Amino acid sequence: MAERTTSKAPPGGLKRWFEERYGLSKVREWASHKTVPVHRGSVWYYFGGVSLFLFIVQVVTGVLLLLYYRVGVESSYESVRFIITKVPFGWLIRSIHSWGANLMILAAMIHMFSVFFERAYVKPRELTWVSGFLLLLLAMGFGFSGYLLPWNKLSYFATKVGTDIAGVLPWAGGFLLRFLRGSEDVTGATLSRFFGFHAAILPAIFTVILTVHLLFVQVQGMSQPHLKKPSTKPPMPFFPNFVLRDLLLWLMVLNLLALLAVFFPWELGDKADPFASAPAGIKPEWYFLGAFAVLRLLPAHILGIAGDLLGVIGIGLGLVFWALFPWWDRHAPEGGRKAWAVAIGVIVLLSFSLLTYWGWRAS
Amino acid sequence: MKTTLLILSLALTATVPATGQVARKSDSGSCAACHAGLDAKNRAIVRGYEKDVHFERGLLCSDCHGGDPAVKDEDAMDPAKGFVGTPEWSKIPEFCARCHSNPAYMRHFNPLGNVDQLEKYRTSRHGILLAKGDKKVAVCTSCHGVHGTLAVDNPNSPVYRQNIPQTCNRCHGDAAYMAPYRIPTDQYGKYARSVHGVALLEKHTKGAPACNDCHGNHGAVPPGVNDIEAVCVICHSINGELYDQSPHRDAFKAAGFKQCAQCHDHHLVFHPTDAMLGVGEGATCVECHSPGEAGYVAAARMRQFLDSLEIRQTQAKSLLDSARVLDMDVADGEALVEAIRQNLIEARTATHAFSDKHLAEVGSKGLVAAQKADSLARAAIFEHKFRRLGFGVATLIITGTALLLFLKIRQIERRKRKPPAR
Repeated sequence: MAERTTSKAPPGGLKRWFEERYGLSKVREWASHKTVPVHRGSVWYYFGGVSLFLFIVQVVTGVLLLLYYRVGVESSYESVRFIITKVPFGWLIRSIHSWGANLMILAAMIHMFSVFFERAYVKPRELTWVSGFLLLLLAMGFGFSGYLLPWNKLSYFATKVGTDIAGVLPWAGGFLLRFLRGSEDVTGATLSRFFGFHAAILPAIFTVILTVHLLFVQVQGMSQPHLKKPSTKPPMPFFPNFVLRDLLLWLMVLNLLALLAVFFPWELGDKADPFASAPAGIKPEWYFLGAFAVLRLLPAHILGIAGDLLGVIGIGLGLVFWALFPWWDRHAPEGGRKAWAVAIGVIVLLSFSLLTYWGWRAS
Repeated sequence: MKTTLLILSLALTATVPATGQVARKSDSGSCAACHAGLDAKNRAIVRGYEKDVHFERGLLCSDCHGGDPAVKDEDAMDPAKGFVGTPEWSKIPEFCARCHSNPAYMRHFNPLGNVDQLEKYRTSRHGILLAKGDKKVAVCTSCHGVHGTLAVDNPNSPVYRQNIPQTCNRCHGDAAYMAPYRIPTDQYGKYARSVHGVALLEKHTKGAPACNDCHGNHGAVPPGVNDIEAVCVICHSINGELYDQSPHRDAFKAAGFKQCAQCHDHHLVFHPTDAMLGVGEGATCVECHSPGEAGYVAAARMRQFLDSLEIRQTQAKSLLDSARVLDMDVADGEALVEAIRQNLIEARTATHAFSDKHLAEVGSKGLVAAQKADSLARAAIFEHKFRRLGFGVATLIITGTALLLFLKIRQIERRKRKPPAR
């Protein structure tokens, strides 16, 4: 009893200073009541945190790279080379930034599919799903814009092919192409523009949506899956139990990043040469390989309509369908899920995996 | 087919005034009309001329041979009408020079072309012997052909750069034919094996020298002992400059040595290697220099310097390759290796100053570049080890922290499961 009294006593010094101004005890009080459901699928909860951790890594390493990176046709490649060869630990920061980007998208995808199969998107978490999906698309946008920034041969031609796809859209295609490239072709204007997207516009939008996404999670709490046999285990306190477990996993991810950066340093390749012919094996980053495969597999014309156009429209509609999934799958039987919704999830996951594999083999 | 057309054109244009291209074609047709029907030799002349560069430029039989092609049969070949027929062998140079040494006339065909061929020919060994009445020596047609003469830039022409060695060899490689002149006939065999011959005949290098690049073409003469350098420096100018400043220049002159050819030979100029330098086996220096002489010592030092530069280059390359295999970025090292390579070329050229001090001065840039490349590669290899070591240490720290976290989590969860004390 005496112990409890001691812990409840008003804090002194710095703690007191903050307490008087910000009422931190209310935050602690709130945190002490926050819990995380415990069941056989609890492990999937950690991937949201891993995605967040990797985003933080990207921000930190990205800011460090900004100290030396100089955008421009005559300086981008040279400054990245300078970073990886002359700046102390520059190679590590650059490699972690490149590997981190890929792992972040992978973690976000795992998070998204786990949310899908746990059916955590249903009411009242529809907007959490939509905001999360938007974050994934933005992360891919980060990847696409960041890929060009070293201005090497592969990234130059991959960006050329990637932005060409935007150009196939009717009406807006030409405008979109010029908007993305800043000119008719991939030039220094595209590089500056992509740098602007990557280091200013996307981070600003991402931060806002991420804040909203996290706010939704905090306000609504973590979703309890609708299982036929509900878990009998008591929920786990968010703080410190879940947070410490999160930290443990983050440390392991950090170690994985270090391992990848040290043993598989991200290559810089040769400098982009707009007058050279496209090198063999140009391919987008792995998360675009699925879309790349769809466009390559489609015939040139289908019923008189350009195959590329149909592919782009199809992928676009598919993304919209996926984003609005909580509104298609609203009323599931109690303690279960609709078979067709599960089937769609399986089909999407399988086709994405197979198309990615095909795209990787084909390139 | 062309012959038929030429003959037909005669019939069709018989009434056309003898002015303009059509009339000129009929003029040719009249010669061809008869000569094509004569013996095989005449038929070959008519057929050959159809491909001739002169015919392509609009010149006809009568432009060289005179006569009046408008007149039929033998009357066309009336000396009174300027007919000169086939020139004598000794008169061929002058025969061709009527046009080719006439700047006003040649300007119509090639404003930048030379018109001094006859003048040069007269100074050539061929021209001098011809003037003395030797009818075996080459005249214009010997090399350029006749009644089928092709432009110099036509790959089928016997005087096309790549065909020149074979063209010269037709006479100069014929031992029986050349016997009266008492000169060697193995030039082509030697040349074909030489660095120049391999470059021209096997590698088809456009700038590689053929016989005429050293001997001249119309003014062809064998360069004298004291003129060899003047010939070689046409291409190897820096080597020539260095040689001129070297102690060898005067020494060779005094000894009557063949300048460049003394070490490099002339027709059999092999690709020079470092083995030519120094005091070891295959070195040309020891042909004149004996142990103890200053030249002998300098030769040994120069060879030693080149060897050490080459070894440093190989070492730097090998170290950089080792770093590259480890996935280390050593792109700056490639520029250094290229600098060493360039310096090695400069250093090999610098040997023509025959001064070990000069060579050391020139090659010092290469040694500095080798040192830099070496340091860069070693730093990259060390960095590779350091990265792995750093990863090991980081892993230990991370694993330790993770272990502590794990223990803390267990402690918290155990405390929670523990029933409260009564």
